Amino acid sequence: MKAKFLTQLEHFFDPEHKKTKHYGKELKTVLRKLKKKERKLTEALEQTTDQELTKLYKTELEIIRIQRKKGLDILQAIRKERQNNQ
Amino acid sequence: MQKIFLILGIPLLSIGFWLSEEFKGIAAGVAIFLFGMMSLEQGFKAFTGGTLERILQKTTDTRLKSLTFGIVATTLMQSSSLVSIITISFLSAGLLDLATGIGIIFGANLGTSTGAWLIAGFGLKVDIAAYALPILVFGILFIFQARKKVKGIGFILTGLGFLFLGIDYMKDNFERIKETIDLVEFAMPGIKGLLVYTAVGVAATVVMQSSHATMVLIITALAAQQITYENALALAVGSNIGTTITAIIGALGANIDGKRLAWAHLIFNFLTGIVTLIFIPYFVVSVDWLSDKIGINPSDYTLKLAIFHTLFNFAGIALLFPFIGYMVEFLQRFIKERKISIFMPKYLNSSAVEFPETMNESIRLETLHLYDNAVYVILRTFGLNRRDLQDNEQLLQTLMKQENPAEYDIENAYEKRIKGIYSAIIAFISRASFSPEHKPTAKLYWLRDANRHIVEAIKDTKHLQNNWLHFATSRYRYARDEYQKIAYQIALLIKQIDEFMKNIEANELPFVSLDALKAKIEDDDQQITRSIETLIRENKITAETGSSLINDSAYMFSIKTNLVKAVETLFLHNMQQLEPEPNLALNEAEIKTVVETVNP
Repeated sequence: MKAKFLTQLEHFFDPEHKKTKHYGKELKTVLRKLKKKERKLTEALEQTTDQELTKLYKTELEIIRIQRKKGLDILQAIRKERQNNQ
Repeated sequence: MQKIFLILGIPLLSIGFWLSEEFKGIAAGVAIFLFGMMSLEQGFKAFTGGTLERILQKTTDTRLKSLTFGIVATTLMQSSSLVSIITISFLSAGLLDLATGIGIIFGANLGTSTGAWLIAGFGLKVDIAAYALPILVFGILFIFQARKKVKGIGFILTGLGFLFLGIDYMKDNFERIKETIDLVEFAMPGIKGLLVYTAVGVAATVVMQSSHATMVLIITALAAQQITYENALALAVGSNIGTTITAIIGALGANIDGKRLAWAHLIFNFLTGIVTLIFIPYFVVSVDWLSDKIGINPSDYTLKLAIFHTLFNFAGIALLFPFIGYMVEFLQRFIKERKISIFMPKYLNSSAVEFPETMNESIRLETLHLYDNAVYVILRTFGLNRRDLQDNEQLLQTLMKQENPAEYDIENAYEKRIKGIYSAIIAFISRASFSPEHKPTAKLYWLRDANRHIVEAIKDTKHLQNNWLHFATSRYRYARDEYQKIAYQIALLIKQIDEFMKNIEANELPFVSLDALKAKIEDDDQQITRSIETLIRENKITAETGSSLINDSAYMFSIKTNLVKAVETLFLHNMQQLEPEPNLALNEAEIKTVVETVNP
């Protein structure tokens, strides 16, 4: 109990930890937005018959897929680091 | 002007040829003579680019030396026009100063009178046509050689051959004309004759662009007694004034000192002409006296004309040579360099350097200003305006309708719209980097990079321009289509970037849009490469055209990538709140993977 309190106190005064936490929070928001955009694009792709638009939506979907994968990887790395520090 | 001469000249000459065999012969003589001069010029050009420059620098370090150089060079080349054109080009290249240039021009005027001596003393008395033919044969033989200097000698010999042949044609036909018409009937005595024949001399030289050719005509006509001695003198003065037209035309593309030199040439020849006309009786007396002293027959009017030509040019030099310094001052004061209205920075001011945030923002805004100017230049290169981007279909139509797109002066546009702003930004960033108030930040480096990308895009556009002009309106449909596609795709990307910038505030995930733009660039590049390969395979374009297209599609790719990179820096690296997003952006390999996944 005492050790956990000390760790929390340490984190409170550690600017790097604060930054990482803030970064993680921001990243989660971005990932949520990406997910939302992915859903919208999938719907739009199903409805369109225009070839150019189909290509554009497919491209954007693929970009979002890679961006989300990268984001999730970073998030996982942050979590792992946090667990190691505790 | 040249067009008017052409429109009027062709029917007038045709009528003349129809009416008179002799006229046809004289005109052919003039044409052959001019062709000879062109060939002579071509020959001497082979010796520029080293030897001539070295001689020039050594032999023109004082005014007297420059005068002597003008005399000797014109005597050797037998063309004062060529000497003045070379002098103008050397002056433009900064190899000479204006005073030296004026000295050479003065000398060239005196040197040109040696031509009159050669024709009067040698050309009319010897059967020069007998020499012309073998010289021509040897000349052509040399022209066929591979070495540049031997080829140059070939052109000089051919030139001389044609000069001799031209003189012979004129001489012969003036002799024949004497048997049918007597041109002396048109002789005009007194001041009226002096003025009219001076004007005729000016006009003839302006048309032929060679005082040498006019002098040959005058001397041959005088030898055949088709003009009076008095009128021949006026014609010689006129031809001396008219010859300045070549220098004036040559100076059109020269820098300001080149233009000043052309004016100096005009002033010298005009003043010399006026003084000669005013004091013509004294000149005539002096010529008679000199002829008597050197043993020239009083009735040998052609040699007397040569003396007159030398004498009045010498008088002009004696009169004006001491005033070269004043002439330079006068020309520098009255012929001023036209300042191009250069686009200046709008947002950079010294107070902005004091605070890092204001400084970054002012550089960012200035870079956007530069970007706007760069886009203007790129679009104008393809004959487009920003308003053409409103509708894609309309854009395509505009590109297809261009029949003869005018060449946009991209170098001038760079000087005017880009260089001033770009230099100011770079200077501002450098100042900021050393400012004690401001530690250089990554943002500064990004902004410098953004500027570099913009300028790179302009340079790539310049590389692309030549082939675009050549092929975009070519009758080879497939090549034309590909070049139109290149211009269309660049314009379309600019439009997409415009839309991206407009919606940047509302765009929740700008890096997705930006990565989509990058993927589009990659996709376009792959498609155009495939299309070119297909066209070559199906023999629809030649391999040479194909290689040009591949090079130019690489320029297109570079233009687009540079523009996107610039915008990426300007808008995205600058926004701190987007911190996690840049880490998610795709790298080049990932972009390629996206394109390959979408187009399997």
